[in-house]
Amino acid sequence: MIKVLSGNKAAAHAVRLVNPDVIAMYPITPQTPLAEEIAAFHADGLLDAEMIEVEGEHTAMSAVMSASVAGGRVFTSTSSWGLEYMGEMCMLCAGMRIPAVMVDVTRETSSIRGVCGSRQDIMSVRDYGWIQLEPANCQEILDTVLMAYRLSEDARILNPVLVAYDGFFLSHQYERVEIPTKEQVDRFLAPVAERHGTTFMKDKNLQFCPSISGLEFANYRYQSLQTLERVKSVFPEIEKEFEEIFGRSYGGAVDKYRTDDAEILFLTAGSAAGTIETVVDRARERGIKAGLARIKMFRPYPRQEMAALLDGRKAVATIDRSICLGWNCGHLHMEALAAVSDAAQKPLMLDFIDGIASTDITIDHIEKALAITRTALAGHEVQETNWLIWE
Amino acid sequence: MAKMLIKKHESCPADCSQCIQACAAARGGADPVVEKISLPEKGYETVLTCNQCSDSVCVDVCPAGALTAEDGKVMLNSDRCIGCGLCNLSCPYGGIFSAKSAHKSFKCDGCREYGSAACAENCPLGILEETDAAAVEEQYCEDPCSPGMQFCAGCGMELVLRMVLRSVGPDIVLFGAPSCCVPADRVKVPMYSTLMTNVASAMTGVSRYFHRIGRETICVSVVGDGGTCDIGFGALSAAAERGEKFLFICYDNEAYMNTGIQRSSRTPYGSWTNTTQVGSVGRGKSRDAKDVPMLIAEHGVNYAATATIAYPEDFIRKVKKGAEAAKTGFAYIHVLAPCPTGWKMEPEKSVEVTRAAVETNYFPLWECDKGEYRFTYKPKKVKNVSCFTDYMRRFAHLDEEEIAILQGYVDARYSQIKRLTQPVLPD
Repeated sequence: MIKVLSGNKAAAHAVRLVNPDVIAMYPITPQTPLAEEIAAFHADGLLDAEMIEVEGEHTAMSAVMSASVAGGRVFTSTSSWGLEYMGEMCMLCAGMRIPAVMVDVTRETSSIRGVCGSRQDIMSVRDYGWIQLEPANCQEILDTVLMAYRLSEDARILNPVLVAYDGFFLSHQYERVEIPTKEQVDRFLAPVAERHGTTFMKDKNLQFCPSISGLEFANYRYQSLQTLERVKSVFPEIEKEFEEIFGRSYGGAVDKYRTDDAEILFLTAGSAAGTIETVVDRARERGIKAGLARIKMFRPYPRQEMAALLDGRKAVATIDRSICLGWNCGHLHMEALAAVSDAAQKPLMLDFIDGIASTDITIDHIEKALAITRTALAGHEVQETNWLIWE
Repeated sequence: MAKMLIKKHESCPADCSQCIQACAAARGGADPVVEKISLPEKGYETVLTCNQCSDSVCVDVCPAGALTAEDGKVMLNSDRCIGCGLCNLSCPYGGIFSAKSAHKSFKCDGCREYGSAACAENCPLGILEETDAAAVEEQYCEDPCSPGMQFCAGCGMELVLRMVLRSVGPDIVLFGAPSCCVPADRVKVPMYSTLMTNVASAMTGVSRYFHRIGRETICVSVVGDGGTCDIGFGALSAAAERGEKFLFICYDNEAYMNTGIQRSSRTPYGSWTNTTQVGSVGRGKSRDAKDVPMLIAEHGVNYAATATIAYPEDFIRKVKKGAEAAKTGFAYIHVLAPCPTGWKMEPEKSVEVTRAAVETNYFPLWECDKGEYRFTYKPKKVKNVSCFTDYMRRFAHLDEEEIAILQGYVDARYSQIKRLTQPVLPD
């Protein structure tokens, strides 16, 4: 079925199709339409789940995590302060490797007036141990939520997955979305049907989260690290199976646009990709070999793939929608600097801060970034980090 | 599995003695170990024999090691018996007999050689009956905790935990927060260890999923006052408001004991803790305790009650009632459980001090069943609160004036509950 849906509604349809056992959500802008749409599906009998009307995000995360421990399939969603408020439970969820899927509709934090979009809130999740996926349009949101369940509940993974998309831009933007059938989704999720309903609570003497320390604890941490590395090979398999059933394909951990011979490589995440692709096309018309790499899997960071991708480019221009405090740049740039150290031929690395606090990322802004990058390549001195916001 | 002799609460016919005759026959003509008891003034006739107690006093007192508990039976080795009669004296049931001339005791051995209990076999009315004891043993006789619980002497919490597990039975998921009560690997039931903040919300998630799949396993917490009344209170209050179906049990030792005795909202007025110290200026906690059981009851929950370890029959009854109430809504039990280490008192007085807490009205025993409050125990003569505080050095610095202030808080709290227990008069 084809419908015109916002990003939030597309995510809600994915949840309806997956039909989790337990859902707990606390409303926060710009996630609210998602919570309301799921409540409407439930009220109309289209979604048969235990709905817990929680008093806050901390309880939302704790409740769904615990339901998952008991054997259930679960869902929650949040944004901004809500994500930070559930931080303790998020760390526990990933630390204990509990399968769960959460949507974060990305938003600013740092002030009560931060009711505007950016990628800032999910930066605190970087070190929690969650898998982080960032779709760039409404169709991809629906598809990514479906894939998130496959990934989270895969016996080789068993780890929570965060699907994060741009607040306001994507959450409230309407696009053409193809809604798959329940049969298709059931077929896609069949391989993880066995994880469904398994629990430690069936026998005596089985405990969840006993107090362990020392080497046993270290072993848990080691396993978490290894699990996240495994995601890099499991995720492409899941994408391939997804394509076989639904007929739509995606580019793995890093989505590449005209990168093969690109000398100037743009780097970004989320919905800004669409605007940058337009600029890449325009630059190509002028004979400038530009391309775009969009990081879809922010965690685990596709380190090896990124190093290979950056290797030998003349310049990398990162369009960052979050600020990495203490590093005087954005997070994507900072992490690209770490990845490029694995590359044989290191490109010129420049960063452009744009689109924070819901400011528009325009074609003009990206053209400006391209111009600054070319100026630097021509031998002129430019700053490493440039703010396009006030352009 | 062991068999158990059950005696029903029915009167035997006055002229029947078939069990006694059968017993004597089974014992090859020796004296029977079943005795007839006649209470004509009550119109009641019955028989007595050994109850085969799992926790036998006779075994404990025997100085010769002649009595041993084996496979659910108390066995008497006649060769070792010195006929001192201590077992006869200590048995509360009259289950051991004395052959004075032989200087030996003798008792029922469950007809070990005969095969089945001859007395029950020959009872024409089925008053004596031998049944398979497996289910009963699992429920009551098996220790719900593994050996090696590492708590301080006199720990009230351990008693709470054992009573709760025995009363609720094995179809349970136990929840605990970081505290002394992290016995995760030492209880014989599934246990879910939470963080301090999320006991009630974790119970919500698990119990909701159980509800969805039609599983009737009960979720029960045994959590301290910090995780209940302070940092976890928001989640608890919200779960109570939503009417989540589980039994939340708080063991209240009136401070953060596991981290080394710091004050909580349940620490009473005047009490010393490591964060409400006594010095040239400090006089212990300056405020009274938050009345959390009352606050939870006022959420309109299915069941809320207070309990303590000095009144186990009251406590166990409430646990069972709470477990029943948790099938349809939220149930809460607040148990006063002393921490002798933190309360600075003699560990052997652990149970006694909680009796004093009730007898002084410091900790009244009440329950609120679907909005109906009632006292479940009323002290005959209410004592001054100092009869409670005198047990503990955490209150040792209090002068008369301060004791009077604490007494004021105690009286106010008691009269508030009393008001709630009284019927509302028409306008």
